[in-house]
Amino acid sequence: MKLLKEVKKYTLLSIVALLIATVSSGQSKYDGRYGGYKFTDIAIAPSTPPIGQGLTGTCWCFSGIATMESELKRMGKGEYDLSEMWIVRHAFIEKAKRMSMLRRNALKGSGSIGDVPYIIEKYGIVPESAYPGLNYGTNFHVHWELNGVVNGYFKGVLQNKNGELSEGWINGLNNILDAYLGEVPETFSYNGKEYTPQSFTQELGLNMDNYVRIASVMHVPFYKKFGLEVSGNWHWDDFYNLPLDEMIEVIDYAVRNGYSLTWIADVTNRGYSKEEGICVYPAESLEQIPPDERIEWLKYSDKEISDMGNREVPGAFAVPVAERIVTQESRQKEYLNFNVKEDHGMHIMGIAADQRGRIFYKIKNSAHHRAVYQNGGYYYASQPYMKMFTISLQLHKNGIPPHIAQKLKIE
Amino acid sequence: MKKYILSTLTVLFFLVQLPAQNHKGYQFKDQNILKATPIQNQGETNTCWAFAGISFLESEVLRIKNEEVKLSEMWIVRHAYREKAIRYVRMHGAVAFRAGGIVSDLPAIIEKYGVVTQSAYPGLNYGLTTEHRHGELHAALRLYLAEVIKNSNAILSTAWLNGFEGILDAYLGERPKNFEYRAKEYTPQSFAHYLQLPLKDYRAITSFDLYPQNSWVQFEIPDNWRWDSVFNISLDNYEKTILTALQNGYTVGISLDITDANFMKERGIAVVPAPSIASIKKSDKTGQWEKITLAELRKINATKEVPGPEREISPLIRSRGFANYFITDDHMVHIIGTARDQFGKLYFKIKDSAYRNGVKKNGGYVYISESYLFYKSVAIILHKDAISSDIVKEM
Repeated sequence: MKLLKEVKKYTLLSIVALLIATVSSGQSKYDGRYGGYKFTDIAIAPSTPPIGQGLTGTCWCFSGIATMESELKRMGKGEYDLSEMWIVRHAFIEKAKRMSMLRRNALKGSGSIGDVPYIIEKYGIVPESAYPGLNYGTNFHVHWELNGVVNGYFKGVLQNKNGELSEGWINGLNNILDAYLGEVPETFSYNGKEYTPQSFTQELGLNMDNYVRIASVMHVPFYKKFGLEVSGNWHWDDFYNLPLDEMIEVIDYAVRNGYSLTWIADVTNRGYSKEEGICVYPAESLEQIPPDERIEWLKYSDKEISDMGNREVPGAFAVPVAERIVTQESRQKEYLNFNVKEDHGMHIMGIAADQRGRIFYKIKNSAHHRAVYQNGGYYYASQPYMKMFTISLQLHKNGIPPHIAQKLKIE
Repeated sequence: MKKYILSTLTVLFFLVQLPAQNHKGYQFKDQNILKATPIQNQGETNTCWAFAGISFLESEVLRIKNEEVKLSEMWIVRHAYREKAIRYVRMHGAVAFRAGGIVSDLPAIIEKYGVVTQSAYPGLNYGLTTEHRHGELHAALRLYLAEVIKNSNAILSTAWLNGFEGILDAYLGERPKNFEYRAKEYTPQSFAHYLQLPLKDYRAITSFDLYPQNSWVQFEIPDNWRWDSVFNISLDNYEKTILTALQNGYTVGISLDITDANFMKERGIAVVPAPSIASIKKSDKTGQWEKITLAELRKINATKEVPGPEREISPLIRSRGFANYFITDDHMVHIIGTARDQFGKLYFKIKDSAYRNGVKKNGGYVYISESYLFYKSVAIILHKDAISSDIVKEM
């Protein structure tokens, strides 16, 4: 617990420091959050407070755990802070086993949307206090050295210098993880009760079979399960393939019914602004704006339209920007061109509207570290952004509208 | 495990007892063989230094306590790895991280970490039970450290050394806090004490005239990772020191160049045939070789089937060899005594742990001629009481 407080203290301190830095350097022209946008929350699914992933590539885990914590709240189990590093640790082991079978000489800290349920199913879960994962001299997560040594060790093993792999190498990896993240507790106490990881997981009552993944691509039939072709999908998870509009319908229905979602998306695009905490798909010319919206943008040149929504240009997002049309085809094209990649995992937990009445989704984001953190870890993402940049979703199957669930043959 | 070792030892023992038929035209007669333990196999590892060093110290225990004990080589290897890793990281990786070492590492490591029996720490925790194989372990350790020194967190973690030791735990086994020996409990420290090894009394000596004579020099060989100093003496004194030590009952650990066609692993013989009549050493220019012709010499050298006249070794050849990489510290062995061939020429009897490089029909013993030893030896380690007092005074 003490450690946890320190983490929070650290996070708080850095927020204050960053705020001061931003204000004093005069870089922010706005009164703080979300640029020129004013958001009103419409529907909010239960969720826990945002937690920073520190200097790590473990967004996939923070977003997955955030979903599970939300699920516990929805189920009336109360507010839990579950251990992300428990998942990260065991995922390293599982990844190493699979990569060794594939003779693929790399072990990365990144992960897939399905990792959290996969690991919970296999290893259970523990509360944050039982496994904070901070055993290497810092009070917040910094994984660069850990990722390096784990990968280096694994590469050394896979050089297969003995002509056959030893029986000791998985133990060696376990011991490295023990050193950095801490040993796996056999028992721990939580709220005055003794638990094992298994008994704790059992008491939570989460059933991993209930969580399903959704994607929307054109190269496989809709309403079928398929293995999504993204490099992070190391254990070859299945995804249900939905038409784009139905994928958006799932998000709407889920959140309005209290189900939150894990969301993997591209964030290396000009409309993802860390400074403002907004995710939009800005038009770069009049032509890209849907015809029925063009009238209010006629007075601007294409360059002006483009600059308004370019995070690289000072003064961008000062007003709600014009966004692009997204179709199943345009999305597919960008996906195949590597312009839409699985950069970041976040947590969709609300629906909001901006001052023009357009629908945005409220996002819990664990990547505070680089951000100017004016938005407390909450971002808002527009519908066009969702349509263009969503790689995949994961949610409780009851969060899917019944007519879609029927087409997917989900009971 | 114990049973296995026992049976291998038995087999080895038999091999040792067999007449050394592989020497062909060479007929050796052991002369002055000092107490030593049975030969061990270093397997597919570069840990000859630990095997030679442990063999040397086991002979020392026999000399001092008249007790035969089998000590753990992998205990030494493991702690050497720890020390090497610390140094490698402090040096930002600007030193080699190798499996090798030198015999004088052992007293230093035992001083710091104690020592245990082989049964308390066999170091075989990775699925192999018959033979050590460190290819995977070393590659994993090396690439692990290569990542640590990148310092990618901008501050070194407090966990890296624990993680490194975790790898060693996985492959070689966890360090026992206590272990039993002859029905008594020991810690690694108390066991070192029990053995009565005079760890501070061992001296490393070399002889290269490119260093000042009778002075301690930081020895520039790749496996001297502790930057240890050796005492440099004249070649005459070096030869005398080795011979007198053996005569007086002290065995000698030695670092040797064996990447030489005249180090005949398969036959267990190493000699330095004289390339010309003029280069024949004085003591070989007598008796049957007094009037040898160049043609006869070439005939003997062509097959090396029988002993022939050998080359005179001078400080100059040694210095030239050392400076030009044909005297390198590629192997460590243990001199346990002397022998003579059918012509009365002196050889050193060597305990060699390197089985992997050749069929050791003679069970790991090699007879090395005086010329070879004095030519190709890099350095020795021995007890200071075995060294002449004139030299010790200079130390």
